[in-house]
Amino acid sequence: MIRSLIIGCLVTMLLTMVSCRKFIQVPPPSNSIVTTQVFSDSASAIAGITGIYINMWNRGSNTAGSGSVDLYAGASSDEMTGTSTVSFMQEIDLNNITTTNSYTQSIWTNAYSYIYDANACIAGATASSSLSSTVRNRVVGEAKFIRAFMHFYLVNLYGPVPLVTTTDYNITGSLPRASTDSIYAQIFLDLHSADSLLTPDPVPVNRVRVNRYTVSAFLARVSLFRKQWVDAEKYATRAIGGNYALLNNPDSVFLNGSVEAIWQLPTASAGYETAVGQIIIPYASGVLPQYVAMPQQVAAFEAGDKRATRWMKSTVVSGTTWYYPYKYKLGYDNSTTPKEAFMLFRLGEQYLIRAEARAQQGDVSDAASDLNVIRTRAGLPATTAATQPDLLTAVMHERQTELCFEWGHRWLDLKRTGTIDAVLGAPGNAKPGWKPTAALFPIPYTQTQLNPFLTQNPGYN
Amino acid sequence: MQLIASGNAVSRPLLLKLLRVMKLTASLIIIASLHVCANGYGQNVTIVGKDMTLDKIFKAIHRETGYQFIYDQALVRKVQPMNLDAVDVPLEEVLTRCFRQGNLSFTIRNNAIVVFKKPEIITSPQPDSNATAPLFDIHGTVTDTTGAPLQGANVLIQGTKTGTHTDAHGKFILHNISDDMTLVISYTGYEVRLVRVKGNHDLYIALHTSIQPLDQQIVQAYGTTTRRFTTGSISKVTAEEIASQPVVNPLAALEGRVAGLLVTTNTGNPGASFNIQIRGQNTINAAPGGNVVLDNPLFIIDGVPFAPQNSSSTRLQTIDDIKSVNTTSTTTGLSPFNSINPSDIESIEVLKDADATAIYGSRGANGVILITTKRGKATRTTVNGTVYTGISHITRTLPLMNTQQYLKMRRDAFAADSVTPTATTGSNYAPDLLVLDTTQYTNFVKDLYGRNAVANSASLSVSGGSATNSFLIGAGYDRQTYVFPGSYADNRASVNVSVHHNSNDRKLSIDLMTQYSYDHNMVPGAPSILSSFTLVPDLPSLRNPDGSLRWFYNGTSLSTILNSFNNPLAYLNQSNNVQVYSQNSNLLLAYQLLPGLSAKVSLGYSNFTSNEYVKYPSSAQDPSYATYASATASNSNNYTWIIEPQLNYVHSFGRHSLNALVGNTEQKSASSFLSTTGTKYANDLLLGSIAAAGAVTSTQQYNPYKYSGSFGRLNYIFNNEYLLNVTGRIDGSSRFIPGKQWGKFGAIGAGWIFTEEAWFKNKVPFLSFGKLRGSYGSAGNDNVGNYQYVSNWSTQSAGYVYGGSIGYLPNNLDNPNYSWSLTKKLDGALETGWFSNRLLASVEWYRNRSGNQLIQYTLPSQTGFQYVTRNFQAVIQNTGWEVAISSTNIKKKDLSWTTSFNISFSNNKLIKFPGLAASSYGNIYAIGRSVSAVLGYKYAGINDTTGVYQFYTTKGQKTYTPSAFNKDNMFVLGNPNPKFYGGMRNTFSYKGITLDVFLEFRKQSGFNYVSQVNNPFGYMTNLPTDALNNVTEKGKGAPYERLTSKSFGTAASGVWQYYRLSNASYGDASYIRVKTVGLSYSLSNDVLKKVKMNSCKVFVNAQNLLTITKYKGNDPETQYYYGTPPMRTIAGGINFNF
Repeated sequence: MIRSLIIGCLVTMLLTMVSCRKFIQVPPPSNSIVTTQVFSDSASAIAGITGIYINMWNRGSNTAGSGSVDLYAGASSDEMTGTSTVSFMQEIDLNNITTTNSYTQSIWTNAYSYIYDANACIAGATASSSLSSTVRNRVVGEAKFIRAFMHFYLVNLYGPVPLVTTTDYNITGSLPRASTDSIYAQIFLDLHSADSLLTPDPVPVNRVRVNRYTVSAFLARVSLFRKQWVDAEKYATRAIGGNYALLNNPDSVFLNGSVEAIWQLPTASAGYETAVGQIIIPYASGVLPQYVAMPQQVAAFEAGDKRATRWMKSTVVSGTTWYYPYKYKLGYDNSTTPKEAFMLFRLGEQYLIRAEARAQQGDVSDAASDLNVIRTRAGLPATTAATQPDLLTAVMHERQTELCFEWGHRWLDLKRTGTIDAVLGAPGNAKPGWKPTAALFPIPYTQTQLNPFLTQNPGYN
Repeated sequence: MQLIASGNAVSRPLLLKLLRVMKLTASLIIIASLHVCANGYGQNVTIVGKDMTLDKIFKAIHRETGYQFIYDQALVRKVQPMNLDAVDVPLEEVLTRCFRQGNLSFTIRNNAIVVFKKPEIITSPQPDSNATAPLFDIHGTVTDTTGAPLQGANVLIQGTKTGTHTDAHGKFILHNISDDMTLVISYTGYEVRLVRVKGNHDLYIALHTSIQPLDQQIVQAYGTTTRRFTTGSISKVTAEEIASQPVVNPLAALEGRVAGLLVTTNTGNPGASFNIQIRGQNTINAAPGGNVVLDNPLFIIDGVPFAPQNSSSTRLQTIDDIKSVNTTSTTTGLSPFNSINPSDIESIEVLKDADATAIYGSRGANGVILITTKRGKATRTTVNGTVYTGISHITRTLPLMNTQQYLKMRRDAFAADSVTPTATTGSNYAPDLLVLDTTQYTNFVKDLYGRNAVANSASLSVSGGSATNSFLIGAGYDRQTYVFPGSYADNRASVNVSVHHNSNDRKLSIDLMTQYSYDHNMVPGAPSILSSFTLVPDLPSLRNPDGSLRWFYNGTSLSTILNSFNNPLAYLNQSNNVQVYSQNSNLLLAYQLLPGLSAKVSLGYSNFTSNEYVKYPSSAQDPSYATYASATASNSNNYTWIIEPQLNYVHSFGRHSLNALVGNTEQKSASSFLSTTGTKYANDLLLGSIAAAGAVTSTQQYNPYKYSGSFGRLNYIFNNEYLLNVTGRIDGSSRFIPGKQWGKFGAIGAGWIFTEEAWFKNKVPFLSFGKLRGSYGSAGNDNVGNYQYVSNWSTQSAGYVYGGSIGYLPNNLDNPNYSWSLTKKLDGALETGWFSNRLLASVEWYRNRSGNQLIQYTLPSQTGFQYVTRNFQAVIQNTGWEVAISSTNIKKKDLSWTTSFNISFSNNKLIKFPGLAASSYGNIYAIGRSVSAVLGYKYAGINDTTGVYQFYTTKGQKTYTPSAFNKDNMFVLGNPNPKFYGGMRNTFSYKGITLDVFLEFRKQSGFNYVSQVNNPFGYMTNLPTDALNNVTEKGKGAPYERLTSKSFGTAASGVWQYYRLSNASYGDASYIRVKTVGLSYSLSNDVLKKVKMNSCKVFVNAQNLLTITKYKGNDPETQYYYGTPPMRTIAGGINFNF
């Protein structure tokens, strides 16, 4: 017995010595899949893009996807203000953001995270030999759209930012700022490419993924920002020609599946509604909402404007009346299907883009008729503006009321029209310490530390 | 001086052992008197006196020559006092003269003179024709107490130079022996035994392990050694030292006890985690400016890597998850070592240098901690038990303002801002002054932390056996409650079993050691409770009259009145129910193939399972916001199995002693967890069941890790004087891509016991032992996550379906090119023993250089990720000095006093960093500076006119806004690594009473409480009364700036963020702590005999009795203003053995 034990020992020893090289191989990870597997079949490849949509919803307000631009760009302008006394919020309210503000930093971090995901999808799908060209085009098209979308908000909020079109961290880790023009050039390049790769969706309309109409709607928005009025009109017209319609009842616009929606993010986890709704809607009386409309915004609504009561709500806290954003009316509910969805593009904006583009081109009557489509739905009479400058003013005013509390439209409009200093710096405006340099958010402190080639925006040093 | 050599098989070591034998013979007493000069053997002495006893003469000679005398008092007392008149007479002659009476003789060995009765045969055992006693051969076997044969033991005939060694079976033969002879048997690490022959021709001699500290066994990698012969740096903490402290976690027992080992507790809560570091941080901080990821040593229990190592045993949130709030903390959650009962531990060895750690190869870079559990002994069955009970309460907290002080501060703050507080929301809103009832006062620290916690402990073990079979079975139960209101408590039940068997031919031995424990920790779930004492003191009571939690005040939400208000009692309704099942087992099979050659297989298994259940009831949430009742069940597991076949060859010939070891390691570890969250509960009462949830989501992870290695060690000792130790290892790890998996590590260590040198002997008086040792070698590290070399994607949370599709997301930036990091360690030490080793002192120097850093290299967010795993050619150097002294100051029959002391000085420095300026680390690190250095602003005092803090720019100008963007404006504030640290233990015994006092000390710096206060003084949070020392209240010269009511927008608030990060809020955090005081009384032997017990002791132990510090904050060790400081525990109990 003992002899056999010796032999056993020796054999074990020998065996282990021989086998140790093989021993240390581990199986591939069981709860994740490697890149080549992701792009080996169409369902997985599409899931690669879906992951970005889910994250845009799932990361809540701390994301460039669902809410943080609405809230932080909104609080930066004169449409709403955060009531929290947390210093990061107050900094945004007072346009005196410190470089360590984690609220604005979250936009930066998440936008680049989505850009990485998009770049990974573009690289993975392009390299795959097993995907059908339809699926490959769809994946690459949607990914390019997302890449363009994120760069668009980065450049508008932070000014010139690093332009990231690859996943290679050896390259992207030390990229300096690109020029605004080259960023827009890439945005157009990506959108035109997406335009050719994506197909318009058949009926019923797909509102939850990027399709060719979404590309048109975004091209209209970008063209407007670049003052390319002809293109803005052209792409807005194309988007308006899609299978969308304005809803008569303003309360229904932000519901899931709203026919006005060109792109919206419904919840991916039943029970939770939009991040914005979860943050703003108070759950009990006597609670001050975390964001309230500024008096300037409340005053912007004309008498009889349905939107003043449907998209804004009042509450009395400690004897004071407050108005708060009410486009999204739900935070959390016990339903298994999403009731509301976070809006990224909708038809209403396209009419206003076309109205502005037409007005800029001198087409006053067509501009007025686009504008009146929006006014009619709001229960307002047709516009009285008849000249180009009056119409442009009327469109800007309509944007302030139609697009309030959404995607920081007001903040970006003031900047792109060059009126921000005049409006926010005006005496009596609630932005007493306004400085022109506040028009750009600071580059997050940690990022300038981690990338020595990244310079800070003026006014933040 | 020369030792007498003879033609027989007697070597110098044998004679040295003879000395030790005589020294330690039970009735001998070592002379404690001291002397300063000695000129070596052959010197002359001058002694003149009348009626001198031998004792007196010895003392005189000792004074003059430094020689110590080793003798039997009974022998010496028989000699009549004599007159001496020796002037400059050779020492030998004097001694010969003295020993004429009483038939005494002497030998001079080392620095001692050994006096003995002249035997019949003095120089040779050759048959004497006149001898009457018959002569015969004698056979014998020498073993340890477990019956294991001891090879190479010395057997010597007392009073002669004749003797022999035992062979591989522990056997020896001596010829020409007579009945009246006495054999002296000695073996390194064991006590010397004297055996009278008295007609026994067949002897069986069992040796007990030595109580001489120098020769006590210490556990090393794959074997044992002694302090005398080790070439490596190994420190030992004994069971006795562990038992002297009323602690539940064995890591707590190490604090301050070992030079070079820094142990820091994170909080004072039961189950709290510990930061453990051996000789400093070797790895670059993974995230610049973020939480430091501390290097952890490798933990091995009975030869088996402890499955969870020093990672948290919880995955879900507990009150100890303070990382989110305290960025200086590095380890969070509960300590997995809480599953180990300290009373099951025989010893803890800390392996520090390359010589000791290189055989662990890749895992030894940050040092190794070996935990050895208790074994049964070959004695009659004995029962040992300890029971104690005690109370704990928090120690240092800063006194907070009461309502009166607080309201005054607030009013002064508004006045200082020249604004009028308002009762309605707006920029001058002051609800604490104008809305709340200002006559209220609640001391939140007292209400939440003020209670006494209770600690109970009981352990019992039974052990015994024979030389062939022995066993130990122990069981323990511990319970500690929390100071918070509520039924929070940590309970542990543990079992320890050890079985040993030897075959009758002693060739086969089997050892099984296993510990099993169950720990149930009902722990508060929300760390935010800790910051709740910043609540304004005039808050209404936290409960409504009906007992429900208060959320509203006069109909208005308190969260609207006081921004971000949360009721601290609500946090206490969120608990984490943690159940930990831990098992560590090792089966050791050894077989002697040939004399000297044995084969061994060590089979180990360590399993650590932690089940957590967190309830988040809607009743514990503010109804002003959406309430989401949810419950999460998490099940995580870590296991390790390890097979280590080994061949060991031991051989002694002449003056050479050789020990060779080769072996193999095959290890597999895996960590996994499955966490399931249930939401949409219809009712809080259902939260105990995940199945009752309306919706369920899960996350899961499984990380296998495989590891393989071959190792060898060659240990050679020449003449018990020259020591050489060579170790090597080849390791493979699954954490690297194939092709990068294998690493080679090795070390060489050498030692020289110079006190054995003939030319050295007696040159230095009282130096009984001296060894110089040194080592150089390398160890590696593969401490990165699994699968980082391959780009992989994973799904979003289960249940997240978007537009009919699930979603994948990339997990990581992949880098296939990384491999082992490498730490090169250089170590040198001088170890000495004085006054017959009553005082042992060692001085050690080391230099560790860690290169090819394997880190999660931080990247800017524009890459899409926070970091990538890669090697990095930066080199961090840790150097240091360590001093350890232990001494027996007084040792008398009834009185003894022993002292042990250790101190460590360490220095951490970045010595190489290619491309530092362009890297993510450019603004934080500098060559030549410690990687732990804290950067911040340079404080320039308070502006006399504005009363606001100012700071210096690089150019020396004063400014209110020292921009962070100009890195030159950042100055080194200090280094949180201790400059030096250590401990001192004094044990006094008088008769049965023992007093044991242990002091721990650290010289260090750190941020004080101000740095953790988020808003400037005067804002709406309560503060320590220290904050009243501000310019507004106390005028010019006060240390704090003028008050401001706002967190934002005033001059005083604008500088606050800079002030928090300036040298003004950074300073001395040194302390001396009376860590343990133990007072015990042992029953006298007479009483014990009557009650038939071996020992019985009643004791009172106190932990953290007193802390002396200038630190401005709660506790200088945890340095956390909001956390539970370490508890003061006072426990009384009884220990018995029968």
